[in-house]
Amino acid sequence: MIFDWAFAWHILPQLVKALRITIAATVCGTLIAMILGLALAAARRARSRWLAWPVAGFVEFIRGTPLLVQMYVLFYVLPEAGVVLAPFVAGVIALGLHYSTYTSEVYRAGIEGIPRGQWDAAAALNFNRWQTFRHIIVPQAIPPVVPALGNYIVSMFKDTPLLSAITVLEVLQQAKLIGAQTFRYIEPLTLVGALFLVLSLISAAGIRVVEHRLARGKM
Amino acid sequence: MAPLTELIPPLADGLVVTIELTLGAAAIAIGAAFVAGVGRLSRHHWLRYPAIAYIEIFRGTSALVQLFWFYFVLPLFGLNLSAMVAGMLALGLNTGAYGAEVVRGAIQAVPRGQREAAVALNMTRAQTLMRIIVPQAVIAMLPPAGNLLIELLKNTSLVSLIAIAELTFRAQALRAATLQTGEIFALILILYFAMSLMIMGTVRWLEGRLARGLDHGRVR
Amino acid sequence: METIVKLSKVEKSYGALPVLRGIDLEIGRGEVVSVIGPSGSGKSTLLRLLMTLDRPDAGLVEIDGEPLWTEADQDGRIADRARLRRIRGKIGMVFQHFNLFPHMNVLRNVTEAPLRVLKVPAAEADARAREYLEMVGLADKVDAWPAQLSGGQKQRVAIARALAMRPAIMLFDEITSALDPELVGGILELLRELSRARSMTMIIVTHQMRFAEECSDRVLFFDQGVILEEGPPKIIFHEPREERTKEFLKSILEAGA
Repeated sequence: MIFDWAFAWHILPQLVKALRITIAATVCGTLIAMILGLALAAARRARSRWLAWPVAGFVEFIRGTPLLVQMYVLFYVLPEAGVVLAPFVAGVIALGLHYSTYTSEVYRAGIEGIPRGQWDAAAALNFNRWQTFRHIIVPQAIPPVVPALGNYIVSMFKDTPLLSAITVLEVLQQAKLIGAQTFRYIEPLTLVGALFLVLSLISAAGIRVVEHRLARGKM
Repeated sequence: MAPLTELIPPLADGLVVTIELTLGAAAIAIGAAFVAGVGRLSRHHWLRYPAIAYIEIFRGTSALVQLFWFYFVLPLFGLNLSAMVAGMLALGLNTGAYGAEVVRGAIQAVPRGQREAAVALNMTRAQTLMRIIVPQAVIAMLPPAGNLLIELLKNTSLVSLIAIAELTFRAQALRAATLQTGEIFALILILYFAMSLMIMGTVRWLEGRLARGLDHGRVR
Repeated sequence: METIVKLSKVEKSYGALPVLRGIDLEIGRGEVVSVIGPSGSGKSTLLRLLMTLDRPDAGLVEIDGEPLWTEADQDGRIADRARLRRIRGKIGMVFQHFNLFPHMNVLRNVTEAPLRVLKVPAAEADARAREYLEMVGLADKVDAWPAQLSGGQKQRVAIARALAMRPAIMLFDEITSALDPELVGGILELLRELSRARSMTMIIVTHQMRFAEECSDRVLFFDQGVILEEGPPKIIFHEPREERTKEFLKSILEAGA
């Protein structure tokens, strides 16, 4: 086995170009997961059981089934109902939806960590439920859970290669193409692995920095 | 329009393969998690650094990328593994890296006084670890281990992309053949969900059994 | 009386905080020594060093004429682990918070170390354990689990567990401080019997002054990391030389120990 460094150097630009799709998918997926997750968390806490229970069931179902199959559903099943999505869009929605169930659990933990007294104080000041949430609860719930949210973003980033299964030309797909064309798999795949490793290590360090800043802000 | 009964046999075959993969990879994951988790805490450089490297690399890279790497690159090293073994190995090592952190955390969470009592009784470090620390740590490991096992189950769907005929692969093949996408995917989603619930239930049962020894004092 | 424990110029700091600032101490074989003093004065640290749970920053600790740590032992690495363990086998310790093994029942807690460490055959280890459990008054609890025991019972098991190793030196680190008041007397009575049996050297860190006066051959008063005063109980408790000793004893009396 020889690792051809020259070849690796040669294909690196192609891989980095495909990485842009990977990063775009991660960013879009993150937006969906962060916003939808908060909505799901709020819905689970709703006083009406007709809202809370189905949402809880939905969240558990999505969390307990594979992301790949969910992507297939969006890509293959929706068209039968008349909804045709571009591969990138289908993939990003699947990612966002899947991870929104994880972020909703994180938000729930954050919200439940707020002392009862905050809710009482808000009620005493005549805030309605929405205002309490928006101005009192959420601003306090988010900072402690930022590291956990950050970790899920990194996980989502590592799941973007699944998009290759629904024909999105992200970085793993590009590596496979190079391999199929040149019959050299070791360089492209190792480079992709290394790219992921470097980016997730940088992100992990970044999350720690954010964690420190937030902790310092509190003190 | 094939009746539901015709869809079942190939999916059942796929289900069996999924279960085999999950069990095999789980065994590898548990072994790797303990070796790396304990190794991570070792005083010896030659144990600690490889453990850290393994954990960081397998946690820091994508499971699907690891799968492809094992499938395409390992043969070049002379390791001609079947797709099934390559898949089991990749998934097992991936889950094992996350498991190593669970093992490490649980061991570090055992109260310091336990280690001190073992020193006071002049136990060797190996005896302390194996007979005092690990048995107590195992209970704390169970809930996160349950979650990791469910992640592993979900990851088995990835091996469909290296042509292993597990459940998702079979579903894709059936979809192409019958175009009954809705029913097929609904069916396998339910199957996966049912398996997730079974894993959770088993882990909770195991927790209950082990904790009873500690809380109510059943004579063993 | 031959010296069994000797400390020479021992110093220990935790980070920037000096805890032991130069301890010179000799204890004879079979002596019963009580260690008293305010919190943070270094009493527990002394025991921890003897039990090899921590290492001194400076000075020499000798057990039965042999140093615990030698020149060869660098910061983290012990050069000759077997040697250290051989010497450590002469010392046993009972902790303030018992530290029983929760995943083993009472009998196994006591047989575990003789079986695994001393390689005593199973039948003998079992018999030995039952003998010591009987001695501490828990013969009927051999099959119980630690979670089912009261604090006083747990401490008795801890004492039996330590005794089963038959150490030459026993260390007691405030063993009644974590107990409800009504359970303290029982433990002290047990300690009293042990001290009268004179079978081993005992070093007892305690706040129980009456007990210390009755049972010790010698009392050490620790203050701010040094042994401020030492002597027979009659002197220390009734005619102490140092001001700090007098202050400390007065404050303890007022608290009603």
